[in-house]
Amino acid sequence: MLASFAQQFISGKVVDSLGLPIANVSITLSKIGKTGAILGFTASQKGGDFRIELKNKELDSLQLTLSHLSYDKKVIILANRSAEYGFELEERLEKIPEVRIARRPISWQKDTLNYSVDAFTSAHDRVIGDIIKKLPGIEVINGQILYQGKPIQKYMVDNLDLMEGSYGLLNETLPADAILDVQIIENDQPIKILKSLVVSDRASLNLRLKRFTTTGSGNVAGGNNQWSLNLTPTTFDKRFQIVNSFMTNNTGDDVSKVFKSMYTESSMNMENNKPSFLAIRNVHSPGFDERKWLNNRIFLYSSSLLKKLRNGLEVKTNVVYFNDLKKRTGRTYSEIFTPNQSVIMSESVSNRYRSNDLSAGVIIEKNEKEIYLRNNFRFQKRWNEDKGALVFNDLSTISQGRRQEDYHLENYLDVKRFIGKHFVSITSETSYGETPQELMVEPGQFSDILNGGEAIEKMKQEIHYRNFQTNNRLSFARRKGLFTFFSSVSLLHQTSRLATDLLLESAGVTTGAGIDFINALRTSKSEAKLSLKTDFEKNKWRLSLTTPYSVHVFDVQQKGEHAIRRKVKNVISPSFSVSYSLNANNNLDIRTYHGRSFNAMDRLYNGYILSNYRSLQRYEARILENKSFNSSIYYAYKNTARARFLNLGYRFSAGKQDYTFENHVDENGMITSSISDRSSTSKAHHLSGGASTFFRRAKTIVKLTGSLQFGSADYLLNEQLIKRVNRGYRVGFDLTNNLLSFMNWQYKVNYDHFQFDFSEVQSNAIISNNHHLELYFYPFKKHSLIANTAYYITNVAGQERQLFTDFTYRWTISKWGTDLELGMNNIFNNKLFIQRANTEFQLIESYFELRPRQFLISTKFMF
Amino acid sequence: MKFRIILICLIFIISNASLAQDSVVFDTRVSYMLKFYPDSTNKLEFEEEEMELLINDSSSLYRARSKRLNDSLSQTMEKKIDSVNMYGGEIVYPRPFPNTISHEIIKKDQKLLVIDRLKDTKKYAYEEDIGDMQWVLTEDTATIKGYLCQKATVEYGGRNWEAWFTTDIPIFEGPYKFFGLPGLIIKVSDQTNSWSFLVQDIEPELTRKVIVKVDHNKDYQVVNKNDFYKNKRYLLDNHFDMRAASGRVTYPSKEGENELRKQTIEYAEKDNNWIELF
Repeated sequence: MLASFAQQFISGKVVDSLGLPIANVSITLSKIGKTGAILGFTASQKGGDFRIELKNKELDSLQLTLSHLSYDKKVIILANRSAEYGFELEERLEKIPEVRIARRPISWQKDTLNYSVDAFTSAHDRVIGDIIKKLPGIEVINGQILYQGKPIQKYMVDNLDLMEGSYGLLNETLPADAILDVQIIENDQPIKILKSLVVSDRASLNLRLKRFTTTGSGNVAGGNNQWSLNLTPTTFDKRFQIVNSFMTNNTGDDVSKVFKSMYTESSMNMENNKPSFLAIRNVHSPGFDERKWLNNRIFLYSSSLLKKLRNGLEVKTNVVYFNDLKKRTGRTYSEIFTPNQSVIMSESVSNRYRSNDLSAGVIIEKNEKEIYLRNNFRFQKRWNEDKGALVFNDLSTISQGRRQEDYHLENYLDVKRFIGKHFVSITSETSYGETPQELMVEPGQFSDILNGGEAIEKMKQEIHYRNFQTNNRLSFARRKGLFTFFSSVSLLHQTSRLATDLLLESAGVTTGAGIDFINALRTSKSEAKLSLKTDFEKNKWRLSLTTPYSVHVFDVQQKGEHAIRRKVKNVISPSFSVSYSLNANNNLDIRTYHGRSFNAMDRLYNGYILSNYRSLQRYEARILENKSFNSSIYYAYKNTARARFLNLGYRFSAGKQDYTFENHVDENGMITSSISDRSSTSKAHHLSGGASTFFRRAKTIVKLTGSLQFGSADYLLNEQLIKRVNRGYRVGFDLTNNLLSFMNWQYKVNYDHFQFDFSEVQSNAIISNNHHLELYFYPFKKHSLIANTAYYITNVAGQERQLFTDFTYRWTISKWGTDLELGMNNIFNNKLFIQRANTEFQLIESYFELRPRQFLISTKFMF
Repeated sequence: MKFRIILICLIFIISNASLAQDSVVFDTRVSYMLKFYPDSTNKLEFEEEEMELLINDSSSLYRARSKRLNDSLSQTMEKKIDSVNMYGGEIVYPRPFPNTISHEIIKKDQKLLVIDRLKDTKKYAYEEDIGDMQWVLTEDTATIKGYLCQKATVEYGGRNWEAWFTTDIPIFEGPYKFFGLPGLIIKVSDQTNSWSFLVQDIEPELTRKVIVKVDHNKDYQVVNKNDFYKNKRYLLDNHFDMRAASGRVTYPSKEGENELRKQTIEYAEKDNNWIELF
């Protein structure tokens, strides 16, 4: 009776040829025959034991199969009844063959990651930039492409880097359907000679073309008296590439910014060494989107060409030229506080800025296993002419004119090669610049100082500045255990000449304003710098200590006399930081810096310069020294799972100068600035914090921010030493709601109070309270309507409130692969934007003339 | 004056930092192409992801082939946000990455450990018994990818699954949580065909062994399975706004932000056909 109900088992043990148990052997029971389906199965345990139940009572005998990856398969026929067995398996000699079937949208080949463009293209993607920004691992931030959080070091088309960092132009215009693959080359060392020496953790991007071709794209827009046109044709061949571009608009879009380099280790910096000493009186521009107020008319042409020669030499040339006309009109009311009185004045300004800018460059590069050579030569010439008509206190008309030319040459040479067993690297950066500048003011001002009180018909400030600079640098890095050491040696040498003269014209006679208004300055500065940075990282701690040491040698001659003769200054500026992550939610960061700095070489003139029509300025022909100490502490809390965030920071800085800025203001608001030899101090405290969270049911994000600041500094005003005290606070509140699927809105408000006290009785304060409401409607698919409203409240007497509204309507037409956009800016057609600003002794109200109400329709196309 | 210097430079010594973590070596890799329909109402849009199953004598690891990419990404991004925030700078938050499959499954000692990075970028994990899968063998056979396979079925996670395994490769493994058949699973799909796995490559005796570091400072939080799925849904629906609330992200324009939010919400709504129905 019992036997017929009892379960029946086959059990046993599996061992190898040495008698050692084998685990994880697959043991199956099936009907006899090659294709017999499995009826029961088990796996051997760690000791090689197994037990398998017999269920199919109707069969006489069964087939038992033992198999394992590392052993030969064993097949045995058994009677269908309980029994115990021992099995021995032979080691398998034949391996399971490898099976590979490949075809993937993303594939790896060693260090190269290939993204197949077709796999990532959807109907509305037009240019390659549309594809690149959605590839996994890639982000695009303000036009800069990042791979795994780091900027890419090269953007190439068929392994040629044509644009040298200004890749935005290609990325936004190259049609996606011309590209086969986007490749990311990880750990790419673009300099071949360094491949065996330096491990790179940076990535390069390469676009593989489907075929060599001529292609391009464009963009056109028009409206009431407005136009905008961009055309960018490109040609790619095996050893030759060219990109041309023509852009023009008067819609407030400053397209010259397209040529900004996105590479991080760009060695050339043309903006240095081109100081502008003179300006025509201007009115403050509003702090919001430039397209709403910039009155421009720009024409820009650019051409970049690359040719790869048979001997491996690459030659690249690049030319950009633009002509721009900007207009600004407005009105300024200033109140200048002096110890004895306040001066109030008004200035109505109508200015035109005409600029021409031509820049060209040639790069010669040889990048081979034995040698790396790169020479980058650039040239830039600008000629600008600014004209302004100014009405002073509604009474007198003053005309201002500024002419500035500058040209600049720059060369960067980098050679790396082995000499014997030694690796040698030479880098040398050299630049030369020259700029003649002129400011004309009619009628002349400062007649008390300049002409014994008699009227001056015209005055002209002339300046000629020349500058030569060379910089050579070498750096090492070395890692040892938890420490990383960075050291560098650099040598810099700079010489400059500044010649200035102020000319006065009365009754057809031109005279010089005198010896105090002449500069004939020759300066030179040499700096040798040795810097050591040590980083330490372990678990929750990150420490960093930087100890730069430098020796400066200054030499200054003014009007033929040695004002400073080979003066040597030694400087050590240590800084230290500690960061501690308590856990994933709490982080603390402390840092401190102590150092000395000196004035720039173009600020050593002690003859007055008329920097604008009512300001005379001079420095001193000596080294001005500034000692500073900064310290900060920052704490952050985050709970990402519950969306709670908090941060709190405090910053303190103190400075001691061996000089004091001195200003003299006369009853007409004419300002004379100079340097006094007495020492001065400054201090500042800054406390800030923020908290934010997300309310789930209401789908609302709430943010609250606040800051408090307090500071003081010494300066001289009309011969009195004044301690200027500034204090201010700011509170901000931000609400974002996304409850409805067809509409969302954001409301922001902030309240600012900022005040300068410069004696117990006198102070100037600005208060601003700004409200912004942004509404986004999505009434139908592919249609969107955006309404932005801003409401500004300030403490400007008379005109306290201003309301601005803009509308944008967008229709995405999938069939054409484009957006049709209708913009209506400045609906209420406000003529002016009014704002307030204050400096230590001035309170300025400015009325800026805006672009009038405007309509614009725009669309994109490919060719 | 122009200075010229010629100097000998560049010695980079990358220290052979001893491995502070234990590592697990896998010698066999099976890749599966996973095809699934994230939106049960849309039978036109499917996604594909290549998954890998790494196997050794005593354990296995199942994860997306691009896991390396996704993992290091979210970490660098977190770091970046923190460092930028610390100095008061502003960054633009990139669009949410389309890492369709972010979970990884470790099978060891009759236990399953499922680790997943949810939308708050943190890792969560839950445990299950490996024996929970009650396979029913059928007598159907077919040749798939050149292997003679037999069919077995199982009901698991609210779906009826159909698996084809081969005894030619005598390992008890399969993709996802599937385990315990007397041969490798070559193909497995659910009855609605919402989820299906098909073997791509089989690489036994890998020449370059895959080494996975095991960090003993568990960087994940262990929760129970129910809470895990609840949390997953909540974070999927709300992570965009939660991140926005952090104030640690800024967008090039409000419009762009709205566009992204819309996409994120649509994406969350479409993601309604999980491999396990909860």
